[in-house]
Amino acid sequence: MFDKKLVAEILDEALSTGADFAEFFAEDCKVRNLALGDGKVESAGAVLSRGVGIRVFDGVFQAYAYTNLTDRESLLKTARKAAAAIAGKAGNKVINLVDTAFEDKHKIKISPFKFDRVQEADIYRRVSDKMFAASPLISRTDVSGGYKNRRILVANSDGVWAEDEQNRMRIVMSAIASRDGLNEQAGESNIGGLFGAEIFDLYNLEEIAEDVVRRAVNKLDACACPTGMMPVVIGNEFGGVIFHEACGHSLEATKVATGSSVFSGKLGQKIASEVVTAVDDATIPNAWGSINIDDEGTPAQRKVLIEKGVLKNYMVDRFGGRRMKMPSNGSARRESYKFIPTSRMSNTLILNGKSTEEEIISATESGLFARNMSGGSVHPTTGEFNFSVDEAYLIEKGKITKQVKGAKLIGHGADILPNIDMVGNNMAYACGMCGSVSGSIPTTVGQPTIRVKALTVGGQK
Amino acid sequence: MDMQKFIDKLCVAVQQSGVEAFQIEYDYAERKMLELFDGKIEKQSDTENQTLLLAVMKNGKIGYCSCGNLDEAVIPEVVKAAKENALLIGETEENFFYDGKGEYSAAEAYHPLSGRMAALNPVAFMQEIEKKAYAADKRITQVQKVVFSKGKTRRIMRNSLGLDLSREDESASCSVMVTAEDGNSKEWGLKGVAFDKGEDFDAAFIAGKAVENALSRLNGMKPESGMTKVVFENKCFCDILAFVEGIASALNVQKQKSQFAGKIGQLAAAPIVTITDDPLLKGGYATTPFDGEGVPTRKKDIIAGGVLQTYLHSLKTAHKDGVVPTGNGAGRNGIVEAMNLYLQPGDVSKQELLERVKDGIYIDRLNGLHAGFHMVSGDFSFGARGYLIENGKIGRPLVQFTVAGNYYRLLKDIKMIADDLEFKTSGFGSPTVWVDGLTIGGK
Repeated sequence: MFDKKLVAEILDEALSTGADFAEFFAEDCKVRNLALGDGKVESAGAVLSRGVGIRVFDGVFQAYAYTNLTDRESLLKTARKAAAAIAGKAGNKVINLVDTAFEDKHKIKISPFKFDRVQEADIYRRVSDKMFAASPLISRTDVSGGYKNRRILVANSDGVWAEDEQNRMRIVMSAIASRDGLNEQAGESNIGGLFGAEIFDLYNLEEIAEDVVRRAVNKLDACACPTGMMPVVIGNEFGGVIFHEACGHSLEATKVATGSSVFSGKLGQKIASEVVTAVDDATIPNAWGSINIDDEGTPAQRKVLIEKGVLKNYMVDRFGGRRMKMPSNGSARRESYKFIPTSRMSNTLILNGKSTEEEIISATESGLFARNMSGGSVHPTTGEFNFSVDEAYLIEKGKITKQVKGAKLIGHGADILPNIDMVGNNMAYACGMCGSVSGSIPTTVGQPTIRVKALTVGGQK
Repeated sequence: MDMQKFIDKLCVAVQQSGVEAFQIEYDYAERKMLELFDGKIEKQSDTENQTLLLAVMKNGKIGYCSCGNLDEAVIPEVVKAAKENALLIGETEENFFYDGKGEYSAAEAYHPLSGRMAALNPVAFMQEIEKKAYAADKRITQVQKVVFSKGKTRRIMRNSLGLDLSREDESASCSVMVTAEDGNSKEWGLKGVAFDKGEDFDAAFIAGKAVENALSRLNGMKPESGMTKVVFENKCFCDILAFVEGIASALNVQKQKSQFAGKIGQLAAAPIVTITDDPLLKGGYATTPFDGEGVPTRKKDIIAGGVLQTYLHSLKTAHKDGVVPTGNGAGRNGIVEAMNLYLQPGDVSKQELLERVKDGIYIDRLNGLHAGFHMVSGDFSFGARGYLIENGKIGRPLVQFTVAGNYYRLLKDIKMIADDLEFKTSGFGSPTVWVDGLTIGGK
């Protein structure tokens, strides 16, 4: 994207007022997307973007400037803007920029940019046809797919020069079931990863489509969810959003470094029940939240966050690490050059325990089985989280009985961790988008089926 | 490359590409941001960015390509991608560009008070806010951050039918978040301002509001579960009202995603409810003389006296329904947006409303809004915080509870509307509202 000599010149300019660290981040993205409604292409889009962000540190101060005018003069001007935030010190110089070597763990097979888009639209249309064919109650279908090629270059005054190319592809589908003036919608968006067009061979989209229809149609007969405190069994796969919201965000240096997280200063302490071991693993081959290097050029790592209930690690970026006196563990991420990178999650998972899902349910006298989640949020100061359940059932006398709808689960992250008393052996993960200070980034959530002793369930009954 | 030159060259390339019509939308934004922690600026940014959106019409369909890299070399790729996208469209709906021949009303949009902004020293102001917040009460254990931001945007829209529009906007904001602790209870408080009111320049006022907000929540309890009378604070109900944008969107109605389908002229809300979208509102945060498609905007009631009056339309959705566009096009694929959408105030004060409620729950903050709302069924369940209403007064703080119901029913269950209309910077506005029939999930 840029040659080393120019980048070194820009870094020198950024260091000229005395910054103790300077970083050059360049990004070049190409995006394509297609959206079909009722099997017809309703929109087709393309995005080409390119930009540069320049950041300087002076102790625990950081300044950032970005631009998408990428000629030499504009870049120098941007470096001066960042440098202007620091004044009155002697300038520093960049040492030699040295290539960071790493293995590409996430190779794709077929570049989506070489895949015929008419053929791609045909695949989505067949998925839509399948949904209509699966039930006469389906009144509307939506199927969309998008892919993004993101090339990044990170160079900094410590001599780092790291380049990577990330290719992500995702397919989203949903169906509306209608009967007697009642309408319900179910969706599936867990199909995605660091893939090219081979994704169409890796997943059986028509099978997934039938499952979406089943969920939408079943919701028509679901009753209102009960309200109050009760034991909650949370299903695997996207159920992992509970750990992501309830704990993951509070383990990011963004909040931990300034002491405003509930988990600040608790390394080595028991924060969860013994059955809980959780990791943030950015190295899983081709997983949606994986990376080779983070947005500061640090190679990706697998971090054990909680081991048998004991807090072992945080997600740390360079800047947060300065306050925490910890080195970066490859957790710095950003949506684009328009954001200052900060510590974020990648693929965040609760690891397998010993119980089967059947054992967990039969051990539950009465409660809620939250099979599928649809998203949530957290306030990192208090750790208060909330998330919405898309598919839920009542558990009565150890058995799944009626389907219920419209449930919300709320609680405190620090309270829920010691209350996870059973962990299943069916770990699976799903992809999502995570929004926070450094923008919206792809992350994976995952877990086996787990049970929480008591949670507040908010339904309409 | 110079923006003007780039646009000129792009126009030539598009004209030669064999499309029927095209439109260019150029956006420029610059922003300066400062973040203070522990008396010092911890983070600072100074940014500029430009984006160009090319829309081309081929065989009556519109294809798009957005481009942030205004380098002459990318022009062929941009034109090719937009044209390819137009050719992929399979739906039969007609598409349009606007010719710009309508009448545009003068609209004075929100802007920070320029004289007072010029005299403001942001760093000193932020330090003052932090100092005042710590000094206000010993239970304030941390001022998490004070953020100041100031920016400018410029938009140019041009098309081959003769549309030629531009606008410039300015904005500024400051916010503070504090942590309060008392024993085991830890809570937060937030206050943000947009510098369009005199009080927004008063550091003590901003700090005071955030502190008051945090302290009032300490030692909260969970409410009992069940049905009860619920009052939503004005700014909080703005977040609920925001869903009207989606359910009144003609595009969602046409795609059968909203239960407002086929309900024009019918009762869609309680008779005391009038919901207005006013893009020309003086000083409004979303005020604009033209929409995202260049169509002149105008004030309209979406619901008047409880009766559904109109959907919000773009050029495409209006043509399909055989009606006049309402000036609510967002600019792509017929998508619709509201401008300053608000609930008309009633004539009782907030105090009188609370006295009439007597006992119930007062909600001033909701979370999990997006995931907790299902437009198709109308079912919702949100996380909430608030206070008990005890004997007509706001009482003890409540934490960790949910509020659930059905949106289409909620609009009909609005019992009373106060006279304290306030707008959020999102452009949505509401007075304090009393709603019945909602389920609280707590103990």
